[in-house]
Amino acid sequence: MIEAVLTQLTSLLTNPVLLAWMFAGVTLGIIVGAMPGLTATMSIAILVGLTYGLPTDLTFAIILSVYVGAIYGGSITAILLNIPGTASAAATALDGYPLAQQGKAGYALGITRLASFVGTLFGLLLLLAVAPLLSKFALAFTSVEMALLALFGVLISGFVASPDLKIKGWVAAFIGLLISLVGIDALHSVQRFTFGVPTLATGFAFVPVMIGVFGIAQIIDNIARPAGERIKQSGGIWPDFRGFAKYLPLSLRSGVIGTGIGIIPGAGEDLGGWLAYLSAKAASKEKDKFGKGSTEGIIAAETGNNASIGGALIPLLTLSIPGSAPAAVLLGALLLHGIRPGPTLMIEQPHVLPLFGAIMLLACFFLLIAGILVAKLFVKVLDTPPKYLMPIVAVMCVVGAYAINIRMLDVYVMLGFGLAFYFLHKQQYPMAPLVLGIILGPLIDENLRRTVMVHENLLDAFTRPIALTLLILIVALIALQFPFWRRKPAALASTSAPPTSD
Amino acid sequence: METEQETPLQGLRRRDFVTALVLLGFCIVVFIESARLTFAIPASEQSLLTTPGIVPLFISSSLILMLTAIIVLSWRDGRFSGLFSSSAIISSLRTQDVLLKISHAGLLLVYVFLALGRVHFALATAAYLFAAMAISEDTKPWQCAPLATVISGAVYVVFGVFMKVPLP
Repeated sequence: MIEAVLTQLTSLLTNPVLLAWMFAGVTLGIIVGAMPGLTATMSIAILVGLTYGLPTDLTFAIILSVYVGAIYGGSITAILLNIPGTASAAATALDGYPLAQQGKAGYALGITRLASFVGTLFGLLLLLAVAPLLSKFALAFTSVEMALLALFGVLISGFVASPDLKIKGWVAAFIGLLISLVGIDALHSVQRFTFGVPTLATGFAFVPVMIGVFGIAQIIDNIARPAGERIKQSGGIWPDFRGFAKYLPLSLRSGVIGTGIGIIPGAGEDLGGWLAYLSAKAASKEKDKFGKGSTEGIIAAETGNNASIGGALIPLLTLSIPGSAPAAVLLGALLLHGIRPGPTLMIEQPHVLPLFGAIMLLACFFLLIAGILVAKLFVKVLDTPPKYLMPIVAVMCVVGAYAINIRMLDVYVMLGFGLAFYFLHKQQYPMAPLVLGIILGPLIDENLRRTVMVHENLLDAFTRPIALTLLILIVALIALQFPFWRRKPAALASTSAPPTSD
Repeated sequence: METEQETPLQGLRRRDFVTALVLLGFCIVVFIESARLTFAIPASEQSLLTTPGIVPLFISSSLILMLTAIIVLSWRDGRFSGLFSSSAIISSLRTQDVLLKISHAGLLLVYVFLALGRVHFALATAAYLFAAMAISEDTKPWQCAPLATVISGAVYVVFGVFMKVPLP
């Protein structure tokens, strides 16, 4: 594997145009991640459309660079504005902003950049180590296991992603499943839910729906938001390498947590950051410093959320089940470029994993360089008021949605879904399970029915060891939902609503 | 008599109630169509479990159950006084924030449905950008006009000319 990664790395390093695009991608990602209201998922969704005509390696070099940059970029606003640019940087704000208030904004930005670098690198190493093993294991999966695994992925995603009632996560996921089933059924060639409209026969194109859900909904949500009051960035541009070195064990522990969380479908980078932060706080000798400007706090949060990137790619590439919302959109990009992730990826297209590894490795280094070279320059972009920025993003959404199939119907679909799901977003229905539902719907539908076709005795299929384990996990997950019903409305006394997910 | 002020969570549950009702309506339609796809289409030689409607039937019935649970829960926890009164609805729509969001959604609809495809992309985009920027409070139209023109031109040149991305 290392040899294959090095070969890909050499090939990338000898392509200056691609390197320039990657640097631009990381920089763009940092800016996008830093701007409150613009998310990694949104930018990847738009880019999938805009890069459709480009060669595969260049497309994924740009998309993965933006992904890596955006997850780090959220920490800039978390530190300077106390507004996390992305949900994944929410934990960083707890200690990053107090540090900035103490005049250590430059120090905090440098440390988080190093933590992001280590986190991404750690996630990447685990991706390269675990993915081939998981692929071999997943080769034993038949249609029943694939269907149950996808169903488990959708359910767990709804369970972990919902900021309010867990059942809302499942509602979002199941709506996604229904959306994915519109069009001609692959097994019987019967039209489903087209209601006589011929254009619906091919179903909803995935990318326009994604752009609508993550783009348009965010634009409408943020258009009226005033520009934040930024703390002036003080201190040097060089990160404190020596200061960071003594926190390396903490960083590695947070990396393990972040990657582990990233593997869980739909859990995403924000949960990775939060759990790494809470774990660091629990283990720290200076617990009282947390929330008041703890270096341990920002390192744990940033390593955790960036390590989740590699984690989220593990189930994506080996099982075709994305670990986070950006990874879900990335799956759409892979399919558009004729790459079918799953257990057979390592056999049919063995160059994909090393290519991803090489791109992410380069993106890590570009993250450090971009941070040093243009750090002070691009924080000025944060001063752009949303009233100017959001209409421009809306135009990008339109161009991205149109470019895939060159038809206006996709733009209408994007806008329709965007406006409709804005209301669900405001009602605390999480969008990540919805996306996962849209992606995994056909997989569940076709494999479940194929199981019935293949097995005369269904009991034989569902009592295979892996299938039975997954079935038990699904039942346990559903059973966990029941206590919510008995819960007394004690929370009604609270003056604040649950946080909005992004 | 002093009335207790509504907590944000009570407000959220009140809106949950309405949202779940609307979604329930959609799910019932899907359920009926799924039942048709399951039972009205001649079953394959194996069983009903392989018909195209079986999975959507399972999903829509699960959704109906879950949405019913949300309706009951939000009815239990929310506050519903004046939910459907016209004055309450109008006052909730008349806040600056909501009006601005509705205006932007409207502008986007006009841009996508009426302008694109009929007017040249760069022209339609410049007009949309100008309107969307100028509509916000405390923005000066003379500042927005050149900004909108430059951005629209840049998008056209970068994507349409250099990157050869097809534009609407």
